Amino acid sequence: MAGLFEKDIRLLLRRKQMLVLFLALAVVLGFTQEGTFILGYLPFLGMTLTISTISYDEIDNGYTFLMTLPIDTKTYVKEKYLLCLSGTFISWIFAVVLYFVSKYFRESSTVIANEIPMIISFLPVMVLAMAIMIPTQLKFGAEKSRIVLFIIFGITAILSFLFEKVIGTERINHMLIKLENINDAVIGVSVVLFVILAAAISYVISCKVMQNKEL
Amino acid sequence: MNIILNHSSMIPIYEQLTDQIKSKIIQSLLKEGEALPSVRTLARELRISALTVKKAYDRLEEEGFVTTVHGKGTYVTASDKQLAVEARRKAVEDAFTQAIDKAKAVGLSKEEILEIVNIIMEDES
Amino acid sequence: MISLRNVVKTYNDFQLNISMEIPNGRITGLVGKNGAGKSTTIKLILGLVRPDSGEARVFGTESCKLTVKEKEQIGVCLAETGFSNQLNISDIECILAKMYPEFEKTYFQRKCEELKLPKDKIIKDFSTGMKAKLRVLVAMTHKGKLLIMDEPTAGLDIEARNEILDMLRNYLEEDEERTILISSHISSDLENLCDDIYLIHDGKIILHEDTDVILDQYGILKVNEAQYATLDQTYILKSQKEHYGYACFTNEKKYYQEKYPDIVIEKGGIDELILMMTGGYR
Repeated sequence: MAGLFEKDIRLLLRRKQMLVLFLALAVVLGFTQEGTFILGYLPFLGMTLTISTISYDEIDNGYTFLMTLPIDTKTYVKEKYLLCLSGTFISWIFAVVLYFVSKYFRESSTVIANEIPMIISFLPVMVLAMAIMIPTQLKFGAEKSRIVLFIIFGITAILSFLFEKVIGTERINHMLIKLENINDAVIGVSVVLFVILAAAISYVISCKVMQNKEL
Repeated sequence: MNIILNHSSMIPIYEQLTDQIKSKIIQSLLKEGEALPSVRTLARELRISALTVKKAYDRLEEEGFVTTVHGKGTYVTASDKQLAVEARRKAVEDAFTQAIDKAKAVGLSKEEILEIVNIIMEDES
Repeated sequence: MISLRNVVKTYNDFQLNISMEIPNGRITGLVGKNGAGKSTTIKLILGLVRPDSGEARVFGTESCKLTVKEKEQIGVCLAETGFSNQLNISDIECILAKMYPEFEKTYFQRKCEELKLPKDKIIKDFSTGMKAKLRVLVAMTHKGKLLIMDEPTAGLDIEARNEILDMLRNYLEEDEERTILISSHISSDLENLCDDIYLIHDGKIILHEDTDVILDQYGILKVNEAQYATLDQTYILKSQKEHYGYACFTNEKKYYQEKYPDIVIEKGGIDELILMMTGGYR
């Protein structure tokens, strides 16, 4: 796995100019945009960049050669998940720092403790997105997976729209109020469990996809 | 080793190799007890397959010119051993000459003599 | 070292059905026309593809189940794929060092210089020859006991080809247990390097012979109609109609040399073997 990390990090560093650009953009946006935009934007960037290493592997039958190296498909998949998680987490930390720094400059006083739940809430969303995107890219390749993701988001949007129509805004509000009354800790734990479960399922699916890939 | 191979010749490569090594041994250019290069080394030098070199070495060993010590290498045998092999060959030739003379004395033709040899050899195999 | 027993792999319009045994310490050549099944055979050996039936084994283990330790012993050079072309030589050096415990860093660096591979360019900007040299080098620098090379010298000029072949010969000399399987279209490379040759055609092995036997005992008789009519067919493997009469492929050149001293007999190399056995001799 060390070799795979070495490869992916070097590939990412090749695009130094792009990375610097994105970072500069991030800092600018962090200071000019109000609110939590940057807390979502940076981790999402980190995630998509690290996942893009999959497309490098895929080009020119690269998988075929990779699988002759002393690794197996499980290790390959593991490394991708670890890479993605680390990349997302690191960018999230960077985003949090930027967020507080910019807030300090703007409002010069903030109570960090209150914001923690909100800040942390971005992580599960990212992990969930990763859980969907990795197996999709592995199965369909970089190009097709964009279409697939578009379709998924489209379907989700339609479903939530229909859901709202069918159940009615009133009832949704009732449900939300009920949710707020449930202990925060319970919500927290169930979210974490749900995300872990999703990640585990995603991992298993990815392993299956790689094993069955025709090289 | 200074071996020159002719790839365009009709003479098989391993035969050319055997002949050249043999003549070097006979001319004492390769001394008794001297080690021949390893199969792979010679194959690399001459740019031929290692199997070809091995066949040449095996042939030389059969004829008594070299001895292979497993794990150590191939060495030029003492010349008296070579002479011994040559002597044995000579003895066989003499035995044949004797048998053929006897056969002719009894009145057998060349074809009949050869047929007898064939039958005997077939019986053996 | 490599063993394929009744391995069958079926694709839409093609079926591979072969058996092969490659012992330790051999250099074996695999030849055949494009589409004959060379790459599929190599993929089966490496475990990249699963056989529909039969067994493919390397080091005694089924190819699809090769362990990481066993893969460390295999050096691979594939025809059209390798490391991502966004990487450069020092990237690859560091990656190989982390992948293979026996990676020979100094040897790799020295060879890169000797072969004039540019340190600063990414692989995308390499010439075809440089890419090929790099692929071969990557396979040979971690002391693997088995090298599998698919068209290693394709696209190289004669000087570069000889450099590579010499590297392979040196590689084998260092350790007698090392084995190499090479597939190639360049017959002269194989004739000077390989111990034995497998000829594959339409998914089947149609010939397996020692190289020196091919070079020494195989030949082509060129006969006119009259000579063909009275020709002893015992050792004729294949005949092809020609404008002058017939071209007859034999594996007992000497027999015909002695019996018919007037007949024109040409040496048979690997190219002639392929052409005659697969039916298209000119």
